[in-house]
Amino acid sequence: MRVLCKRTGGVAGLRVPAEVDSEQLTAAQARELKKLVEEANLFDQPAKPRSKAMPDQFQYEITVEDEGKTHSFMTNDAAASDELLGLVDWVIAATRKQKQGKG
Amino acid sequence: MNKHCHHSTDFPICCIIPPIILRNLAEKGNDRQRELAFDGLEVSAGMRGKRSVMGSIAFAAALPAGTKRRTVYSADNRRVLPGRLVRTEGGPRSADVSVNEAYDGAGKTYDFFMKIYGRNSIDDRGMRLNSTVHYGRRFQNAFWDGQQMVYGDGDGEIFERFTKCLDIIGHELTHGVTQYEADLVYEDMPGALNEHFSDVFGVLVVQRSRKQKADKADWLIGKGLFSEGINGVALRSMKAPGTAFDDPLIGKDDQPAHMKDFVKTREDNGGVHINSGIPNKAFYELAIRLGGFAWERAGRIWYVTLRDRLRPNSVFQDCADATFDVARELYGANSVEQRAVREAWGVVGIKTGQTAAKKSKAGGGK
Repeated sequence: MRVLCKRTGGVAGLRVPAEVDSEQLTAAQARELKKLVEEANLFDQPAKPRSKAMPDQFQYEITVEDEGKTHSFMTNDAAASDELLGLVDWVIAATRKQKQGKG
Repeated sequence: MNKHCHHSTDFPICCIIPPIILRNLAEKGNDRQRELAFDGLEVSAGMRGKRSVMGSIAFAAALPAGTKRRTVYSADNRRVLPGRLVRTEGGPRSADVSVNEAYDGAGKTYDFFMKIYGRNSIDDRGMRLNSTVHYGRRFQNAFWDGQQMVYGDGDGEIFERFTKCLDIIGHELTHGVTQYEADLVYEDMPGALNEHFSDVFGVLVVQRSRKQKADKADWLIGKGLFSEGINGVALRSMKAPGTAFDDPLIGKDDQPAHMKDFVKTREDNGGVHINSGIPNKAFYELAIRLGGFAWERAGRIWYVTLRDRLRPNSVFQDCADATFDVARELYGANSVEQRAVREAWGVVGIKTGQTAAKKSKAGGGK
């Protein structure tokens, strides 16, 4: 399973790309990722957000790939569920950890 | 008890209700209940303690212009709004630095709009200034949610706490002002203008608090917000867009300073924090040309434009034309101010004074 997530906007306007691949995670992390993806209903998200972003909120472009299926969508802080925002935080943190490990 | 308050009259009957219940209402009640609860809490906080009960009622029912009403909540590192009530107007300082910064920053921003432009709060009708601090865990952002200001603690690696910068507080509060005035759509060029006005009044709040003239100011947004180790002075520079930071971890400031570099993107709601660099630079150029305190003339032209001239779908050209017209109305045709406005927009590649002329030729103008 792969999850790609790009966070943009926020008051700082930074672009934060993040990506995790189950095959490069520990078994425990991969299980956690799978659980988070399920809880966030990632494959059932509408292509575009149902709510407008409020000023300085984050915007997200997310792609999930699993067992030959791919789904891409855009969302924001106003539209996303707590579960989805939790997954995004997790993917960003895991990506940063990987980078630091390599660096 | 909720019911009681809900059915009460327009007077703050809640001032006879114990503070603990008022506190509950302030955190969990509907809008009306919260307002009543706040009036009660503030009366009991002693700010109006010397007044008779009748006096308190009359005072709270008709808020005179210039009455600040601030409230600070803590989300206690969860994603909840507004959260737990931690400080109200006139209440004692908190031991929590974020709480005091949010409170003081909202106050300085309120005073700025009131004393300089005669604006009574976000809605110009004395709206309560609600802020929530400690939003989320290591949350790397601050935003305006349509009703209140929200601040994260930062992660300590990239960002410090977002209440640390007065201009960020001014920026967020100005999003509220914009919502009540031009209501610029938060997307593409109107969104970049929305961002621009927040940056303008954010820096002007800081300049006024330091009594700083235009040529002495740094024109930076979010100075000190980056943690140590990040190669950057601030989030944005109005003086030199695109130069605020350049760091392997967070990338490079990519704000343009001229229309030829306008960025077309679907990220960031169509680049609202990117293309704001163009009008930001224009405002800086105007302020430098006029000299003195930027909030006096440059800021006034911008404030009147935001309040009276722009519409939800206004683009940069509309803004340039409107500021040119407002400069004439405030300072006279071909005045130093009006000429400086035209020059300032010219620096970023926007010609002004022309669409207005075209419109009147076509017979569509006023």
